[in-house]
Amino acid sequence: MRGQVLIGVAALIFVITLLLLVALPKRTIGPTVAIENYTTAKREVEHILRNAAEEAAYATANTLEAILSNTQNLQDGALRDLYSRHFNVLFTDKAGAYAVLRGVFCKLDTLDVEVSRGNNYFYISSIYAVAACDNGIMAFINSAADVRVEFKNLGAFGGVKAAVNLTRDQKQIQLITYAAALYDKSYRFPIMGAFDPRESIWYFNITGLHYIQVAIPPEYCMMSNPTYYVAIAAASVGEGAATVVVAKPGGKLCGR
Amino acid sequence: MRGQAALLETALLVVAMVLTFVVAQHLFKVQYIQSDYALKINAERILIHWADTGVAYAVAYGATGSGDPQYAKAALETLLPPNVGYNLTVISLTRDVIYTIARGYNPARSDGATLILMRGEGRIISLRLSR
Repeated sequence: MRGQVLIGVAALIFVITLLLLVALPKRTIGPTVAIENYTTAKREVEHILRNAAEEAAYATANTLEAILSNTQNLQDGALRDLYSRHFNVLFTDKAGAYAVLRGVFCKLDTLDVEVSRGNNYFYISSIYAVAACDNGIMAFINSAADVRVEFKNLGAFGGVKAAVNLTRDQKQIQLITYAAALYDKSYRFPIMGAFDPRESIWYFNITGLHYIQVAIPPEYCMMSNPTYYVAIAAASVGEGAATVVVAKPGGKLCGR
Repeated sequence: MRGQAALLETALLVVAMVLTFVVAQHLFKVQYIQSDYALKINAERILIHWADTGVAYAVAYGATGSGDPQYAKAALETLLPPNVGYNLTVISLTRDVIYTIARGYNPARSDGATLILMRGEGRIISLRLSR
């Protein structure tokens, strides 16, 4: 009798084990790739911020006439607001596509954009943005731009020479893309040049200092009371540094 | 007779216990083999390194926007020993596969990782390694 109970117990253990084997999902023990998964997710969100920052510079430069037509005279506050709006839209768009792919929802937590000005020009001088995702990932970008603009009299032509220095986390950016255009208050589009990232110029300089030069045609540079201004968009490639420069000459730029 | 029955009971008990231990060990065994784990972690680390150094943009977009397979091949083959096969696929979020490069790739013994970049219309870089 005692032996039968023992066999019964052993059989029961065996059957339960078999049932568990079939019913339970396969288990994985040992090391996992949690650190790498976390790092990859963090990098991906960080790069969404970086790409939004760079593309927002082109989008802002391309729509400067929107704030020009309202105010008739560009203000640095308007440039900051326009850039922030484009950043928000681009980030939301990218985060939406990312959510579809990875199932992770991210939102823009903080965006601080600063504008600095020099003599007859102003530009976006720093971008700080933080994104927070529902899986606990937080990512940020912190970039800055230092710009000096010179107006040149080149005889028949006028010229604008911008020395652009982009940095990300105090590290100088060596490879940038840029585009420049000439706007006139009378028109709602650039009268020369365009801001299409696909047609932008690639510029590598080991020192990190980039000289962007724009020629002003005679019919504009001859104006003693200029109605035009020069816009330049410069951005890194995947580093999250960008700037938009708006320069408006104070007088005649060419001839005697 | 009684002694034989006890012996049989003991033998059955031992068999049942041994089987239980074998099944339990199988139930909790590690699912991936060690080499696959190494391949997955290597693929993830390569993609993270590429994201950190900007190589990911050259691989996925290049100067023309259509990626740079030659650059990708050189970048991978400086990192991977010849006995490790690879399959690198760059996919556009709007234009399907942009290009695929491979070397000695064996899908049956492979593992890998993906990296998503959202510049422009977006890219997925899928890197799978095999032994």
